[in-house]
Amino acid sequence: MQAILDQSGLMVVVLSRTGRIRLFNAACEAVTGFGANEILGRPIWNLLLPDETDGVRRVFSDLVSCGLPSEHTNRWRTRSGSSRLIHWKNAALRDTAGHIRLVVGTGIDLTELQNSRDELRAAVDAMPGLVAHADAAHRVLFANHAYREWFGLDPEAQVGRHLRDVIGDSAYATLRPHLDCAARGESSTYHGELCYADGRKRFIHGTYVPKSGGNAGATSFYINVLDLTEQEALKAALAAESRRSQVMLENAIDAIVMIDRHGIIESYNPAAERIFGYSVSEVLGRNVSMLMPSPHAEMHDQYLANYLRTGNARVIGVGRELQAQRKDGRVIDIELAIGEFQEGDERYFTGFVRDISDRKHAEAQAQKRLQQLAHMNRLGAMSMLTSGLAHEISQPLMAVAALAHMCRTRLQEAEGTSDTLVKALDDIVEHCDRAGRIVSEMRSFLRKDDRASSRADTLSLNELIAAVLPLLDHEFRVAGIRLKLELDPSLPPVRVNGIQVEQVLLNLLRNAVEAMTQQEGDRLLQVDSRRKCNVGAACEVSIRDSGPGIDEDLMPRLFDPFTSTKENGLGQGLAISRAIVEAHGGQLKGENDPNGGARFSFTLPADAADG
Amino acid sequence: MPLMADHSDANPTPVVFIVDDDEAIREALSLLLRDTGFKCHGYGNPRAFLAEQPPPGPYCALLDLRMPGMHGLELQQQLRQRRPPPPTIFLTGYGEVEAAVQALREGALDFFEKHAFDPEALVERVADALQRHAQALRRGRAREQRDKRLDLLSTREREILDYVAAGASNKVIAIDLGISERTVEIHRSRGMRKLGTRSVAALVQLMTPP
Repeated sequence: MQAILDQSGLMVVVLSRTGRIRLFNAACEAVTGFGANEILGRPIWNLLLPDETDGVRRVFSDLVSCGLPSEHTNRWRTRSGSSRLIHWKNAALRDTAGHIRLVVGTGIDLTELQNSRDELRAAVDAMPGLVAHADAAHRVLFANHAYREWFGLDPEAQVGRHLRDVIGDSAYATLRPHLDCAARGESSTYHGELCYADGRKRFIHGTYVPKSGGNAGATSFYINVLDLTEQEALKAALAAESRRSQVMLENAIDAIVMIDRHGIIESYNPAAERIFGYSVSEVLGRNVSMLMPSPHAEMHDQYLANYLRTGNARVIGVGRELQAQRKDGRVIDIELAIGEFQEGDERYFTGFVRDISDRKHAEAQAQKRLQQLAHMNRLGAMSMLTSGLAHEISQPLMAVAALAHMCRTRLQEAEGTSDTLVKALDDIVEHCDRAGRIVSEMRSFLRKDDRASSRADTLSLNELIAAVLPLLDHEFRVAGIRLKLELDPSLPPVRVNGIQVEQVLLNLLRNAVEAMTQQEGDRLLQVDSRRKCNVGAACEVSIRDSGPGIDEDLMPRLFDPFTSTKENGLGQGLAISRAIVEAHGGQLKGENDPNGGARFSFTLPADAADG
Repeated sequence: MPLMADHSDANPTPVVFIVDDDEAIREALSLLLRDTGFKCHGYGNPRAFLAEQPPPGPYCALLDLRMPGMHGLELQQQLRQRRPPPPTIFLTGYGEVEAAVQALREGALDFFEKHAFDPEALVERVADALQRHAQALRRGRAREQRDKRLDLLSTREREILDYVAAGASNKVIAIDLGISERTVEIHRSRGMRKLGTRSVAALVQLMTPP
C-alpha cells in the first residue's frame, strides 16, 4: 500500500481527527524536504504558512464534522524555508459504523504552474494595448494593467463588471456589434474613433476573438485594443501638409520644376507652364535642358554629373540670375533657386524660377536714364564752370576799362602829356576789349548748347517726380530711407524741358539722401508738390530731408559753383539746378526746416496755355 | 548825412548811386564818374542802399544784377515805388542778358555788359539819366504847385473854370448849370484871381496836366 502511494506521484497525507499526520508519502517528502519519520504524529498546522492556518482549520473541521469531500489550495513550508502552492482534494474516511475516523488529502504541487501563470500575467500587463477576457454576457473576466493606464481603473476591480460600465455608453454602443459577434463565436475587428467614458477620444484598432474551442452558442471572448490616436493624427497632419504643398505648388507665381538625378522632369507646376510656354504633358519625363538656352542646354547633364560627383554647387542653395528659353524660342531673364532632397536612394532637385525680364528691362532703362542725366549734369557742370569763369573775369575787366578810360581822359586834358602814356592806356583798353571778346565767344559757344537743350514740352510735374524716384530706389533701400509723397493731383501742367527738370529733381533728391546718410536715426524724405497762386499760377515742389540741415555759414554761398560739402563734390549740382529753374522762369531756394533737416523747393510757372 | 547837407532845395547836386557787391567795380566806377563831374555814392549791399533816405535832388542808380540778399530786379521794383522813380542802369555779368532785357522791360534805362564795358557810353547814359530825373522832379513840383492852387477853388469855381478852359462861353455855362450869366461871371473872375491867371490861355495851360 505504502509503495503504491509512493509511486503515484500525487502527494498523499492522512490525518487523524485531531489533525495529526498519520501518513506522509514520498511525494510529500520530495516536495517539502522533510522526512516522513520527522513528520509523522505531528499536527498538520506546523507544515502550513502561518497565515494559511485559519483557513485550513476551517476546511478540516467542516470535513471532520460533515464528511463532505472538498478542495482547497494552500501553501506549505519546506525545509529550505521556501513555500509551495499545493492544491488539495480532501475526503473523510469512515469506519464501519459510519463514524469519521481519518481524513485523507491528495495534493498536486501547483507552484511551477502558478509561476508560469504569473509570468504570463506580467507579460499581458506589460502590453500597451488593452487585453481583456469577457464572458458571453459582456462581463469582464480579466483585464490587464493597460486599463489602469487608459482609464485609471484598477484591473482587479473590473472583474465581474459589465463592459458598458468600464468603457462608457458611447464606446459600448459603437463596439456592441463586434462584441456580440465574438460572443457568437466569430472574430471581429473595429478600426476607428471611439469616445470613452472619460470623454476622451481615441482612435483604436480593436480585435475581438472568441475563446478557442468554444462550440456553437455563447462563448467568452478576448479583447485586444491598440491605441492609434497619435498615428492617425500624424497621418492627418501629413495629408494636410501634402494638400497645402499641392495648393502652393499649383498657385505659386514662381515656376517650380522638380527633376531627378538625371535631369528628367518629375513635376512641373502651372506657373512653369505660363513661364516656359510648355504644357505639363510636353515636359514630364523629358530632360530639363529643354528649358535652357545654349550653351547651358548642352552642358546641363555635365553640370549635374559634376555636382553629384564632387558636391560642388554652383547654383544649388544660392540662387542666381540666369536665362531660360521658352517654347517659342524667346530667351528670358530668370532668377533661379534650387533645393535638393533625398528620398531613399534617389536624389531630387527642385528649381524655383522667377521671370525677371520686366525687372531687368526696367533696371536697364533706369540705368540708361541715370547715365543720361549724369551726362547732362556733366555738360551742365562744364557750362556752369565756364560761365562762372566768364562772370568772374568780367568784374575786373570792367574795373580796368573804367580806370583806363579815366586815366586817358585826365592825361589828354593835362599839359605836356606823354604820347607813350596815352598809347599805353589805349593798349590797355584794346587788351581789355580783346579779353571781353573772348568772354563773348565763350558765351556764344555755350548758348548753342543751351538752345539745343531748351526744347520745352507741356508736362506734369507729378509725373516727372514719379519718373525720377524709381531711379533712386536702390539708394533709398540701402540707406533705409522712408519716402513720404504728397503730390497735389490738381497741379497744372508746366511747359518745361523734361530732362532738365528731372536733373534738378535728381540733384536735390541725391543731396537729401547724402545729407541723411551722414547721421543715424529715422531717415524720412518728404516730397511735396502743390499749387501756388500768389504770383500767377505756379507749381511748387519741395524736398525735405531729416538730415543735419544746411550749415548757416554755407547759406550765402549755397548756390555758388564750387560750393560743396562733399569730399569729392565739384559743387555744381545746386548751381546747375538753380540755373535750370531760373531759365524756366522759376525760383529755387534752400532753407532749414524749423522741425529739423533741410528743405529745398523750387517753383515753375504753370503752362500759360492751360489758363 | 552829407548828401542832405550839401543841397538846398533850390539847386541840389545830382547823385549817382552805384550798388554792386564787387568793391573794385564800385571804386573804379566812382573814380570814372567823379572825374567826369558827378557826385557818386557806392553801396555793397542793396538793403543798406534802400534804407538810406533818397536825396532831394535828381539821382540815378547803377545796379548790379546778381547780389547777395537781393536780386537787382527786385531792387529795381523797390525803387520804382519812389516818386518820381529814379532812372536805373544795370551792370550785367556774363550770361545775364535775359535778366537785363527783363529789366529794360520793367523800365530800366539801359544795361552795360561788364566784359564789354564802354566807359564813354556809360558816362553819357548817366548824364542822360540824371537829366531825366531832374525833369521828372521839376514836373512833379509844378504839378504840386498847380494842385495846391487848384485846391483854393470852391467846388462851383472849379466847375465853372473847367467849362472856361474847355472853351465854353459864360452864356453856355449859365444854361448848362441853370444859373444866371451874372453868377457865372462872379465865380469865374473870383476863381481866376485865386489862380493868379489873367488870360484864358494861361488858365488852359495851368489846368492841363503836365
